[in-house]
Amino acid sequence: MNLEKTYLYILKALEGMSGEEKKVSRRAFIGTAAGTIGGLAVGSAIGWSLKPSGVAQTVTKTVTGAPVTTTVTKTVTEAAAPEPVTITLNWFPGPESDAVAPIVDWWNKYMAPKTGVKVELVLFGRAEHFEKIATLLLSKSPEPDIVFMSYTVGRVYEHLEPLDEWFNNPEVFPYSLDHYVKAALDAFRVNGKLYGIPTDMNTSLLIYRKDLMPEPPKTLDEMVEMARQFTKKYNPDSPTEYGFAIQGKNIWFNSYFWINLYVSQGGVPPEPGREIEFAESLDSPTAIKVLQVYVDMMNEGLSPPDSVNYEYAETNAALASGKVAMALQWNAALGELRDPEKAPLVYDKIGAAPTPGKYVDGKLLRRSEVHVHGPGINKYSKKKEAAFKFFSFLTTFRFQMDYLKNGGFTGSLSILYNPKAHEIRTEIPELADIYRDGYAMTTHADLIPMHEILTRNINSALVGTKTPEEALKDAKQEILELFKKG
Amino acid sequence: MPSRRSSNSSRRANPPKLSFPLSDRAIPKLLVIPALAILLGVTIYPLLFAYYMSVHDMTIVNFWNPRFIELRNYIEIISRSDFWYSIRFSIFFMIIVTVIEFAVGLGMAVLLDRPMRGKRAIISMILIPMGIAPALFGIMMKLMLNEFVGIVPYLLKQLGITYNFFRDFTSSLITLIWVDVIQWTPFIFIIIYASLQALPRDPIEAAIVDGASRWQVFRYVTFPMLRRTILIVIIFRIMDALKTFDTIYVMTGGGPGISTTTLSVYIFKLALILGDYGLAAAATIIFLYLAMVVVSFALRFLRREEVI
Repeated sequence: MNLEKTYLYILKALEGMSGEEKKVSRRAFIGTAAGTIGGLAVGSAIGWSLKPSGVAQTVTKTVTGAPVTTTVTKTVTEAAAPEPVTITLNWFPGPESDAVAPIVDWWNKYMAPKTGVKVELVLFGRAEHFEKIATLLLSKSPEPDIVFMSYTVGRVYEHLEPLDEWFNNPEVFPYSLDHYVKAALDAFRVNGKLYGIPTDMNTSLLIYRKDLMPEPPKTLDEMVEMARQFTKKYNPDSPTEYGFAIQGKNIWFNSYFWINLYVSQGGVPPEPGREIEFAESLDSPTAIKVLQVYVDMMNEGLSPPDSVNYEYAETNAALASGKVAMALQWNAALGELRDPEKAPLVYDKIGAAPTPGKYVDGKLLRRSEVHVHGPGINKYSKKKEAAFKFFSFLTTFRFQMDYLKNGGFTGSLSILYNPKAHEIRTEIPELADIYRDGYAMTTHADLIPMHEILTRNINSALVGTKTPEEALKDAKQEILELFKKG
Repeated sequence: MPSRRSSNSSRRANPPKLSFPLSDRAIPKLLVIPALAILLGVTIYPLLFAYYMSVHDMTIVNFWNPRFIELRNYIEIISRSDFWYSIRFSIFFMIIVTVIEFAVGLGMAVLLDRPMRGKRAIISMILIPMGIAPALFGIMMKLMLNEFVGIVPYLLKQLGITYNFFRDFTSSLITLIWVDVIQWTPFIFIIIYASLQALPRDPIEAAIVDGASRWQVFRYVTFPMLRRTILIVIIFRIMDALKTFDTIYVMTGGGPGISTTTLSVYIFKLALILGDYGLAAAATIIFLYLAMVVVSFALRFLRREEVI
């Protein structure tokens, strides 16, 4: 017996090593060998039974492309599930990440076994999110594989994967991008190349208490008048303590609200290509008048004194507490303020309207900037193919609808003009006009410094260290110098 | 046994020869290399890179191919009024918080340096703020001080007091100082308290026997013995307070306007908001020299006092 010979050989070798004679009975040896072989056989059988099946399946994929919708049916053979790859997905913390988190959970539960791609959500602080991403990209960090970008794409596009080739390859992208609002997609293009997809289309709007004001203010003058009417200091019967909450904190994105008020008064919008024109108009009478209105509202006590230090969260807290009647706020706040759990005092009393403007030739001018946020693929990612599998899913109608249900808002026409989407989020008809009349925010590389300069100067005017004229003159000079340097 | 001893001593006398050709003098140098590499990586390289950035027109866009611009970043930064303001504010903030924290920390340490019930629990509670990350502590305090949802304004309102913690420079400054004092007084407290506990009791008891009052015991016996600890703790606190960033950035963002912008906040904004790494590096180098001046004065003082 060969086995027996082998046994004797091993035994001899052991004897040689230990220097002691080992005695093992033949019965014990056969028992051990049988046990080992039997164990291996049982283990193999269990492993075989759990092996993923490699059966042929018919998969139907619908490719929607303007002007026709084509249904492509092809037979593919699904191979055994590949070794799972975990990609890191970075998203904007706040309502956006709240909206994507359940989708990531769903993907990991149902799609990860099929695609072999698991997704891990990675979040940073909201205020410094884009700085953190820029730093990671500059350091050529391979993670996160998917980074959440914005109009700041103009600063870091060299570190992002150009997506056109991926999207033009039907093998990896059997869908279409035609359903996106064109301006929203263009907001992610740099030098004609696409670096991201607009999973979040944002704007700012006037949030007001519709139980107190059946009609929201349409003009700037009406807004100030209503703010006074709902400030206890001027109207002791007012149910709210303050009529308005200015987002005045010295944090770069707070200038957007002022810019929208200014543009709605006929000011020059900071659209792509008009950045210098916008900066040069900052000391115009219109700009000074709008900032003076802000400063007067603060000085007259129409806005809480602490609002010089308000940003998104504080403004929401003020509205949710029921002590403030109106505020200019991001559209994302509507989800929170209309949530009975998050805003039990006001959830059914919150209205949304475009930024108050003015009548020009009998027509009401109200314009808010439209900017997009969304994911791009890290150029230094070592898992680009896996990342694109999940990335392409983000362009699907399923994702758009689920994201909407969870509080997100994609830059897709299939959402804006979809009655089913309107059923899920009743504010979409309110927002549609704002997007329709909106203007695209520039993707200039110096976009954030421009806003930082403007916010800092507006903040100085609000606290009285500069007059509105001085603040805007300084802002103009600094921004023009910045563009010159750039 | 004797034979074993002799075998050990012979081993010591004739250490085994290494199989690779290295002299006894080279081995210690070789062993220092890993530590030296780490040191170079985490201190020397960033410092040299900061110098490199400071003489280049390096922004977030041209990070990999910046232009050499000599000392123009230094000239630009020292010509900026907001840069000088942030230095003045940093020094002002540092002095105020260090003085208050020292006074409160010393007072608490002296008060607790006696047998009392629940002392351990009190000390644990005092130390809690120091254990919280400064940024998180800032967020917590900001929420607690919020006019509409904060507990502090609510309690004040119950007492008939209306106070806004961030309405202008003065209130923001007071709030920031207050928050810093809450977080960092425990640091001064715990070091002085530990030092108090370690003091010899004989001189103190002798002074009491001689009829010295409590104040006299503290003024002429305890305090002189604590002097070295106090100097060290103050210097640590000065260096830390000079670079305060987290709480201020979280709570006021350096505002209103630029009124609470410390040099650290200013440099952060230059680099990561404005994206001008060259200018930020120039400001950092100047800050480094400023800190070095403070540290060298401190060291000279410590040497004079024979602390080091």
